[in-house]
Formats: sequence, C-alpha cells, structure tokens
Amino acid sequence: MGDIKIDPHMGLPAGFHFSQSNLQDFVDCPRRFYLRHILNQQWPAPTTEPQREFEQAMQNGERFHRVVERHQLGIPLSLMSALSPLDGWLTRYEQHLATLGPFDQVWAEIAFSSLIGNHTLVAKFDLLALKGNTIIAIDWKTGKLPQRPTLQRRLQTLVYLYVLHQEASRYLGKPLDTYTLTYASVATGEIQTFDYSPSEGYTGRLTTLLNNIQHSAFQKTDDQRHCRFCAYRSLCERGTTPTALPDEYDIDGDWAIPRDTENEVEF
Amino acid sequence: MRFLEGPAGTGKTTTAITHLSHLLMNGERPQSILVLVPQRTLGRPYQLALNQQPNAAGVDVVTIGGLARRSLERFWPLIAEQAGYPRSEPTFLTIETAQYHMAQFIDTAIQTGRFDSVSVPRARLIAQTLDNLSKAAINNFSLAEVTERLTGAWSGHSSRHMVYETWQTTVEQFRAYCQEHNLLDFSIQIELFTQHILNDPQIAAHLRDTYQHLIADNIEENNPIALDFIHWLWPSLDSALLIYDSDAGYRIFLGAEPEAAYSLQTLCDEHEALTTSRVQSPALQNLEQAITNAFTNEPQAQSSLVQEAFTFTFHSFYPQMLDWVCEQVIDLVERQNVEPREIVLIAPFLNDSLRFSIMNTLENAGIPIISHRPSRAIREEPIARALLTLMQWVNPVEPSLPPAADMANALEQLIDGLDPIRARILTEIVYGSAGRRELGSFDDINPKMQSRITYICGERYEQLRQWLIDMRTTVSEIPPDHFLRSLFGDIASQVGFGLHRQMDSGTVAAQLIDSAFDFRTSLYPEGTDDWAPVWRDYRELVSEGLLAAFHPLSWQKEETNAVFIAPAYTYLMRNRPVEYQFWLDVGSQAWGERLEQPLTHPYVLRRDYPLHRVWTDEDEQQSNWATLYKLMVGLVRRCRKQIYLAIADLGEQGFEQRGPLLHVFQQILQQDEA
Repeated sequence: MGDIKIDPHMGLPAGFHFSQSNLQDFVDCPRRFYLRHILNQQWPAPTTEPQREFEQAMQNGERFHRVVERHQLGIPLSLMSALSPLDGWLTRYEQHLATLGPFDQVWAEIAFSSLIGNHTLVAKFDLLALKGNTIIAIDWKTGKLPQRPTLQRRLQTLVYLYVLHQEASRYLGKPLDTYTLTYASVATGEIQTFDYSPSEGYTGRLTTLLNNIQHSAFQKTDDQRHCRFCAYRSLCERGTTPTALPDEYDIDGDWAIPRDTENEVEF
Repeated sequence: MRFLEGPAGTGKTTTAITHLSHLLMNGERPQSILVLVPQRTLGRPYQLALNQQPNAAGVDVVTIGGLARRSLERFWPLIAEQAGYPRSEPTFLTIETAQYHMAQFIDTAIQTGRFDSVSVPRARLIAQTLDNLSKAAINNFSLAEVTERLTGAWSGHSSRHMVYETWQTTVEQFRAYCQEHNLLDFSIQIELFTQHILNDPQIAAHLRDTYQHLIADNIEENNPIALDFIHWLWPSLDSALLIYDSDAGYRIFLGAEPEAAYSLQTLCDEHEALTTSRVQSPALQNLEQAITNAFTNEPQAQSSLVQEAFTFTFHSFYPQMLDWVCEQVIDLVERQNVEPREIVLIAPFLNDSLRFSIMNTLENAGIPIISHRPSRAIREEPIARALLTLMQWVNPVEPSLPPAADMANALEQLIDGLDPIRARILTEIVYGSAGRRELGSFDDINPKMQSRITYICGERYEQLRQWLIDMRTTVSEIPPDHFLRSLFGDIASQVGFGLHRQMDSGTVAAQLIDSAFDFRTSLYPEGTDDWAPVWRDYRELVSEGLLAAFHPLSWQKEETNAVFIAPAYTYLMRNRPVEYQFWLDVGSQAWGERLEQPLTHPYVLRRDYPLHRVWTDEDEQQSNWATLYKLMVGLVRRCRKQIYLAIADLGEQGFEQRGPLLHVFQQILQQDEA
C-alpha cells in the first residue's frame, strides 16, 4: 500500500507551542508528530490493552494530581482523604515534601513559557518550590521511575531545566543559584534529581531539534517499538491490536493533555 | 480602568492584545491576568498572541462557565457539604449527558400528558427544559421565577400554564436527582459558583489575590453572571480593560445582556471610542449606512458606491441558486486568485442538503471547503451509523436486530471496495431480508454470488464477521467506548477496510467514542458489572439524536486555507473578517424569524424584562427586526470587498420566498434608483 500524503511545507498550526510532550513525540516518531500536532488528526485506536487498566491508571494519576493541587492551595489532606483511594500515594507525597522541604514558597500547577528562536516552549510544573536561592521543579510520577539514564535522555528533563533556567529568576524577581528538576515517584518512593548545568548545552540541543522539525519530511520511525502503543499504527500499517501494557506507558506525561471539557452552548 | 467601544473591525481586540503585551513586558505575572470572553472562539486572538511571546504561559483566557467549572474542580472539598452535595468527586455533565439524565423526567411528564398542548419532539422538549435551567442560573432566577415569568408573558391558551408548571416540577426532580448522584450540569455549576465559590472567604481571597488584571472582550455577548463577576472582582483589580462591540449582542438567545454590559462603563476612569473601520471598503461602509437607513426608514441620499458593495442574481429555483454560488466561488478562487479562506458562505440555518450540495460541488472542483454547524447530531454521519449498527448487532441484550438496510450500509462503509449494490446483495444473502441472528459466512455462499461480490471483499467481510462474533462474548465486560475503539483500531481503520486512511472518518469515530465515554462515565463513574444495557441505552440515545453532537473542527482546522460554510451566527462568533461573503437563500423567512420554542423565551427570561408583562406579536416583530439589523450590520462590518446575495424565487420546499432580508435589499435598491 502507499503512504499518506505528507506536506512538509504545511508548517506548524497557528498558535502552536512546543512542549516536552510534543517534542518527545517528534523524537520518538516524526510521523506521529505530524499527525498529532500538525494535522491535529484524531485517530481513536486503543493505545494499550487492556484499555480498562490503562484508563484506571490515567484516572488515578489525574485524581492524585488534583489532590496535590488542592493541598497546595491550602485545602487540608484530611478533607480529601475520603475522595481518593490513593492513600499510599498521599503518604509518600507527604514524605517527599518533608524530605525535599521545607520550602520558602511553593506554586502548584504553574506553567512557564520561553522563546527559543521564533518558537514558544512551554513547561507545566506540578510543583515549583523555592528554597533559599534554589528553585526546585517537582514532577510527581504515579508509576515506577525509569532508570536515571532514561530520565536524563527524556525531553522532559531537557525542556523543564531549560525553561526553568530561562524564566524562574524573572518570575521571582530575584537571582537564583541552582535550578533543579526532581522526579518523585509516589508509587515507589524513588527520587531522581537533575540540576541545570550549562555544559549540557540545552539551547543548542533544543535549537537543533526545532530545526530538525522545521526541515523534517516526517518519516515514520525506524524503531517500531514506539508503534506498539501508538494510536496511529493502523494509519501507518504497523499493527492492529496494541502490544504495550499500561505500565509501559508514561501516564504522568500524558494525563494533563487537556480534552475540551467546557459544556456551554455556543454558536 | 478603561472602557473601549466601537463597531467590529475598528481594532478593539488589537488594542487589547497590545495592552496584554504591555502588561507582560512590564513584568506582571501571567497568572495575574484574566482574559474573560463570552465564548471560546472569541478567545482565539489572545491565545494566538500569547503563543508569540515569552513568559506568557499562565494567562487565563476563559469563559465564565470555564472559570466556574475550574473553580469547582479545585475547591470542591471546601464547598460540597455546605452546598448539600456529597464530598466525593462530582461528575460534570456535558450538554449531551445532561440531556440523557433529564430525559427520564421528561418522559414521565410526557406520559402524564402534561406536555400535550405543545407539539414539540421529545429531544427539543429536553433541550428547552435545560435551556430554561441555564437561563435561571445565569440570571440568578429561582425556578419559580422562571415559571412566573413565562406564565406572566403568555397570552395564548391557558393550557400553556400547566406546561410551565410541569416544567418546574420536572426540573425540581432533576435537581434532586443530580444532588443525590453528585451530578453537576451547567446550571448547577453556575449556581454553585455564584452562591458558594464566590462567597467562601478562602476561595474568594484566592481568586481576588490571583487576578489583578482583567481584560474582558465582547462584554456585550456576556451573560449577567459574567457581568456580576466583573463587579465582584472590580475592587481588587489593579487594571481593567472592558471592550464593547457596538450594535452587537448576538448571543441574546444564550443570555447576552448588551445594555447591562454597556453600563459597566460607569466603573471606568477612561472611555475611548474607536470608529474607523480597518476592514470595510468605502462601498461596504456605504452599504452599512444604507442598511441603517432602511431600518430606521430615513430616506437619505445614498452614495453611488452602495451597489459596488454587493452583487446579486435572481434565480427561479433553489438548485439554480446553489449552482450560481458555486460558479462564483470557483471563479473567485481559480480566475481571480482569491484565497479560499477569504470566502465564507452564510445561511440562516445550515441544513444537510444545502451543506452537502455546495461542499460536494466545490470539493469536486478542487476547492477546499470546511463547514461548521454546532448542533449537528453525529448520527447523521454514515460512518457513525455504521459503527452503531454493528454495536447493536453484537449486543445480545438489544431487543431487535438492526434492519437489513442499516447492515448493508454498515458493510458498505466498513469494507473497502464493497459498493452499495454488492453490499445489498451480500446483506440479503448472509443476513437475510427478514433478519437472522447470525451473520452468515461468505464461505457458504454459492460460488457465482461469491464471484459477483468479489473474493477480496468476501475475505474482508469474513475478517470483520469473525471479529464481531468473538466480541459478542465480551459485551458485558467492556464499556461501549472500548468496543468502538477496538472496532476502529483492530478492524475498521486497517488496510482493506473503509476507514483506512480516511481522516475525516477518524474524526467522526473519535467524537462518537468520546461521547460514549462521557455517557458511561457520567452514569457509572466507578464502572459496573454488566455493560450490555449501557451499550443499548447509549446506542438508542444517539440514534434518537439526543446524544453526541458533532463538533468536527478544531480551531486549528478552522484556520486552514479553505472556504468556510456556516450558519450566520456561527460565523459572527469567529470574529474573522473576510474579503467575500455569500449570503445564501436571501429570500428565506428564516433570516428574520426566531425559532419556535414553546417552553422557553430569550427575552422574557432576562433580568430587565418586567414580571407579568405580556409578550405581544408586536414585541416579537420588533425583536426580530432588531435582530436582523444587528445580524446584517455585523456581517457587513466583517466584509472587506463584496457581498454576493444568492436569491431563489422558490425556496427549497418549492414555496415563493419574500423574507425580510430580501425586503431590506429591495428598499436599498429602490432608494438607490430614486
């Protein structure tokens, strides 16, 4: 069979911004990036099986993040314990806060955006915490943390540290010494921390990546492991039923993708 | 504190975006800025602008409904019990799921005969019942006041009073049910927001501390609760920019209060009016004046430019009119090199035949065209019907099998290469015109018919059939959306099947699956032991047109370079000027008539409408006339070069057409000749 027609000159849609999630899509598979972010193509195939398990994991992740946001807005956890079957997660969440804190100031669910070239890059932090002259972005994970080298390679690490370094000082109105990204698993209690380091060449790596996107022909990835949990696999003729299990999927990287949920009548 | 007013196209939103950029460049935290819009489409210019500048993430571009919902999601544990709801997570109802829950109460009322005096289909009774609830919430009316207002304004037969009383009883039952099951429809969300969120000291302090800068655009389209919220927030604001579009207020039917919005100017220190159009040609400006003269009956000398603003041709029959429209569009794009996105085709209502006829012709001519009709039911999409047919066949608790015609359509849609005739033959053989419990095997058909149907289609049919038979055993174990998702991913979108690489069909399937997900999560948020009845209920409601409105266009897709065809108000709420507008079916009465809605009333259910004042025929005429004026002026102000008037002497139904829009243009032409 042939392939779908790709228009590499189509350009990014008006109002598009880059994020760790869509950049990771490009790195995993340029075709997925094209379909999902340039064409904005809906393709409702299952991403994992059993679907119910995956959905449950997503719901739990969403509930946990909501509880944390509420807690950081000043609502006592005791008011929410009845809401959630996630008691174990909340216990570890409190332990993590005790270990990493105390903090001078915190912000929950806060987004920063930064320009890189002509493009906007957005990072949404689960929790931002100021401790002296150190700013810590905490990313809660509801599953087991990947190995450190895997986390190191993830676009999330690159994007979050870059945006944090670019914008946090301006936001706070004061100079900062250290910019830290902490992955904290509430499922296992693991913690992995990465500090911003100029030697990592964040700007150059991101610029190269954005440049690659602009000049991409959006070919399918050669690494077909990424197709196992890709909704577009039938479009690409790379399989029928998903072969990935729910725990192979980065739930916390995806749950915050907004679905249009407003319910007002419109013209 | 600044109030900015002016007609569409004078640069108000551009001014506001500059103001927003200044706030950010001056170091204001993005999270401290609230951009309040009446409808999400009107927030797009802000979202686009914010994506062009650094440190802008976190600016809230939101409607009052969006703000209410988000506040409830965040602060639910603080207000749930005092509001009389369980503290567990609530279920936020969509329009469709609210209709589903309301249906059971409406059905009870219908069975008692208390709605007999209004001849309205069930689906519209449900929609209007919910509309009244929304109007009560956005106006802060009690349910009893809604009944009192509707009763007091009614001058017809007294049987209508019982209808209004029945409405009240029905919605009281619905409200009690929602409270018991922790369900929040739009009206409840708004009431909880105004009565509890804004009155809770901790939450109120949070909101007031968070938002220090307000930009409220198109305030004339906002409902009273949004205007109340602006008043509520005002004392704690450091800056505010309120933007008012003169002569607009198109969302009257959705509760807009242009007069109350205009009175917000008294809060502001500065008042600025922009008057020079950046959009219209001089000829279109003259046409706008001529329209105003026609409505005010002021005979004034018209500029000779007026007729340059529009072109028209009379056609005897409706299809001729549509042909003319397509010819003109093709001419503009192919011979005059007009960008397709600079052309819109506007109708008072966009019915299927009109939409299909024009889209089909233009697509065949290679001209990209997109449509948007917000209320379109997804059951009207053949792909959706095909998926629902298979869903019915697979489910053992369905009381009947799908009709053979539906099965033939499903096979035709889903098996690549199976044309309608072969699909019908195949269905007659394997399914039987009388209907059989099983789909028969292709292998059992006689070779002559196998050859006629083709072996390749037969092979695909067998693959689909086997998959469906296998799924039968799992119906009670999985929710309907999981079945549809697997049907799409495992079979329908694979090579050899009808949805393979069919992007538009993918969008339809996705929306159907989303609606099935919303449906079952609102009913069974924690799951159930037997999903089969849920499958059946869902399918029946979609088939009835009650669930699953189709919203086919993301806003990115609307930005593509394509001709846009939409109902007039849908286009206006995009606020996107174009070079050429085609006004379709100008003679139609629908351009100046309100839809008959016996259960509700957009004018009576407003704060400024006096209680017990009867709504007269004269009121109706005047309001229709005023609405038509606003609509015409709003469209003309969004046109840069020319308007094409498509006129047919006989309408789609074969009746002679002399609607009010045509009358206005006749007046303008007569004035011009004089």
